Amino acid sequence: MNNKESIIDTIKREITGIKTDAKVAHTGRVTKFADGVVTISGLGNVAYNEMLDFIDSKGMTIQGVALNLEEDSVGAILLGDGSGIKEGGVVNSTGQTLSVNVDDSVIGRVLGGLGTSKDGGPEIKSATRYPLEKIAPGVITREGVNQPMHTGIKAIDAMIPIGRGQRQLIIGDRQTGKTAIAIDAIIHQKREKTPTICVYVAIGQKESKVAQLVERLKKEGAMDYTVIVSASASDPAALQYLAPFTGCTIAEYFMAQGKDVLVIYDDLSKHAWAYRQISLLLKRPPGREAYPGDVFYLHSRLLERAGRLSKEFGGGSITALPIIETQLGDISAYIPTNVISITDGQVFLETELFFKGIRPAINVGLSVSRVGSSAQVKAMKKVSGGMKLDLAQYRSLEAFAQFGSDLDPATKRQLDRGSRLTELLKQSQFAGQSFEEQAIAIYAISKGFADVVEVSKIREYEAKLISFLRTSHKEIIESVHKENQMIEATENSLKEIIADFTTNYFNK
Amino acid sequence: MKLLLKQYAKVLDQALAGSKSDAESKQIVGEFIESVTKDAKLSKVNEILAHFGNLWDKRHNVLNAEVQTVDGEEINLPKEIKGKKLVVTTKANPSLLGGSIIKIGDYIIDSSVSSKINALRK
Repeated sequence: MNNKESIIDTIKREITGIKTDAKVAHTGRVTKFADGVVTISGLGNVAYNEMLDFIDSKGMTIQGVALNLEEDSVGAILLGDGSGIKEGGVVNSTGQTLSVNVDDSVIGRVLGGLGTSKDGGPEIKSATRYPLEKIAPGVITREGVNQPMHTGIKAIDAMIPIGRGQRQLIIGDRQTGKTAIAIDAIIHQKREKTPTICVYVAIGQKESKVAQLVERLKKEGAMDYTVIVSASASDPAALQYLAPFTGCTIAEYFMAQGKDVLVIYDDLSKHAWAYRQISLLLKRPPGREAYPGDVFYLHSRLLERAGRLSKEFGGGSITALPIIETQLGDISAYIPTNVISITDGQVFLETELFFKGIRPAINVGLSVSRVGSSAQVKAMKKVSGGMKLDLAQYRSLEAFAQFGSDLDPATKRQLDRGSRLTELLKQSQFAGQSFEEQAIAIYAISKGFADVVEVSKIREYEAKLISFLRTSHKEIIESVHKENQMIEATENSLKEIIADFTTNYFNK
Repeated sequence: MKLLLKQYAKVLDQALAGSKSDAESKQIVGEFIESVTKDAKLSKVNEILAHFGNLWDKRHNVLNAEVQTVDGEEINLPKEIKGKKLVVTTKANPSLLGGSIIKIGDYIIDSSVSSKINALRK
């Protein structure tokens, strides 16, 4: 009896709590719907980028976004399955511009293009919603790039250094290892002194590829600090268009807490395709390669939101690694030139190098980093300066390599050194190295200690040298790690150790 | 010259604005239908009429309201809103169960019992 009464009481309380005020809704009606683009009549007070609720024939609510405000109609894109949308169907405005829920629990999650749960976990619920489109931090709030963002890849950390807050483009044909570099960079962050939050935005990729990636990151323990935002190939173009902005908003949430964030947009070519599709369907005039006129602004406003904040403004940073896929190495196409000009440098990958066995297939000549060198640690700067020069000379002499014996000794030495350095820069996937080990390995080769080692044995030599140092001379590695540079005493003892090691290497 | 549907509506509205008697209005409408037929736009006449309706309302300072109640019972609404005459059409809609839905322009004021029950369910 008691139980029954308490149930009745609860129901009473619940019912009295319900607001029974009349609901005032601002509505419009669907007049046209094709390919995810809806034309709506009514909705006189709707704002640009405002979220809309479409009521489909089953009474379900589907989200949309108002993108074109015209004299007597509104053009909107649908963010979900549009199979139930009917002509004359009701559209409600929400009074809320495009925004997502973000809080600390997004870490380790796989989210959809608009921050919805995609991994079967609970939806993210935060007290405030964060707008997708936000003006980038201004001049006053920013600071120059002054801390390194290591990727664990020797070729990048030594030759094309990336700093925290930099925007570094990874560009290359399909199957050249663009994503591999990005993934290595994410995995490497666990070895760093200062922790970094990683946001990986997959745009228009296969679900299977994303699943594999998540699996891999979990295995490497990298999901503990990574968020995946995925708008896959089967998601509507509208979600693919919004996914990078969602990723950026998540990154900004952590940057505002003073944290360093690494965002990877994989890839912006597909993002531009999705935006082109939406623009053409909305009947915006096409320009070069049928992209709309504001495709440059689309990417520039996204990448402008990366950067380093000064101490007074929290000191957080967003490092952006956009990825662009070229067709047959053509970097003079519209989107690649745009993004090259927006970013602070690029890592250029080539199919030819890839099949020559130089992996990562980075073309060191065409790759640049315009700001990263100011953030490089001293140890790295010291060893990489000489290496850059050696490799540049090697490239200019490379054509003569086939004349072998007819060369003068100086040229021959230059060629030998160059081929050893090239060999050293080869690195397999998921084999990131800390900067101190990279610096020591490069030091050994570029100072000529390994000139006696066969070119094909260089990688083996390097691995053995590093593991020897790790076991028998830990203090050297630790000193470089602690001081961020090779102090004189360390360098002198390192010289002796490497010389000894190399002699013993042949006696074994 | 090809005319937009909206322009047809505008032409009709302006012609009617200038007419002084019912007979003249009837003649204008007749001529209008003729020219629409000649331009092979008769199939679009509904859309033209929709545009015309908007223009008519604007010119006569009229706001259309639709009221839905269970039994089609009329509700007392103010005669004017923001200086605009309110023209009310009332419809019966038994699925509301009670209360009313009032539609004025783009806005819907929903105080029906059915939608409150739906809100309760959620």
